[in-house]
Amino acid sequence: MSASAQAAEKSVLVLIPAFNEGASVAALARAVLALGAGYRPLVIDDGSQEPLEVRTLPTGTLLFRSPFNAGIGVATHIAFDHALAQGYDHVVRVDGDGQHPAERIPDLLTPILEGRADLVAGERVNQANGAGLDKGLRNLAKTYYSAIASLLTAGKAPIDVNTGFFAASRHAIERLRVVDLERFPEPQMFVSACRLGLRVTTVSIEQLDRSQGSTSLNLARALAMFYRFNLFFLQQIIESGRSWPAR
Amino acid sequence: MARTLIILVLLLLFLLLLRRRLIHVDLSFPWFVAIIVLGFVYNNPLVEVVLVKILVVAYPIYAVLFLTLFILFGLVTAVLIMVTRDHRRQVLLLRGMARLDLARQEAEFAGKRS
Repeated sequence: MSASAQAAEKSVLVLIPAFNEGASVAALARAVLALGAGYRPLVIDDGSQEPLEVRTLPTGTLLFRSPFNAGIGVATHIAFDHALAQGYDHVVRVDGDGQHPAERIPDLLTPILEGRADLVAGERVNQANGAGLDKGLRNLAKTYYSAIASLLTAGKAPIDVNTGFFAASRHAIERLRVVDLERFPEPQMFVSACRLGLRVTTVSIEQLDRSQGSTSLNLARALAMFYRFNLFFLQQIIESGRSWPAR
Repeated sequence: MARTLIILVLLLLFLLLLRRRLIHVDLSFPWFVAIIVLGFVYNNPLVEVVLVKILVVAYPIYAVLFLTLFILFGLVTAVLIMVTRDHRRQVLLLRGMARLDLARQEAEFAGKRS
């Protein structure tokens, strides 16, 4: 049986966090529903200036509109809560701006369905694309995150710890639920998963061009993310105490 | 006299902010205590002398300045703790709202299927 057919038998909640992303979200939800009956898109409108309307989304899509911008960490928690309450077997996250190929979701689920992993990261092979100083700084920050994540997890964390395209098994959801996920939570989530003893693996994907909206990661937020990650790093060192670096 | 006047103005401003509901009564307590402490220190030369000795500073006014900065830091910390707690409650509330709303939508889908 193919991974896609297996996933269709089990239920997959596909989280689509959206912030001012409009039309691309509906297209993404349609693409998720086209994967099979077991796939349920969950759109979380994270305080968009023009809130998403249910009628603009295809039938079978869950929509929660947050009255304020709470961040992707909270959106992820909402998806985890819902998956556990409603008995979903897996949670997949794809970005609402259309950068993640929805047709690769079954590939992301394959290692979990084969019992090889609890958490699968969609590792972007073309993440270093771009131009200018912005590209240089971004790549430098990503290299730093990756190096620190690798150090904290003894090389178990994926190289692309900033990817927002991931799949989690029910076991991973239950374990990660207790982690306080913050705004831009990806590095924190992957590091925590490794340190909680979850099996983390990667599937290579090609990131697409943004079809709608713009990144919410401006300079101030990038600095805040950098600060937060370093605090998280320090906290992990303090918590692990004598056992650091992680074995 | 001037020192007492400063404290009275601070107290009046504080009461005005409370009356206009610009600050929450639960969050205002540390600020009220800070004004009382400052008023006591400002108007009590003996406290100044003790502070000068403890802080090993040359002039009494520096002792008051250090104490003011110390209180200010304490107040900012107290406000940070309160805001953090409120933010956590807000997130929990949002997650609770989402749980209810999404469960309702799931029930609607199930109803349509059957």
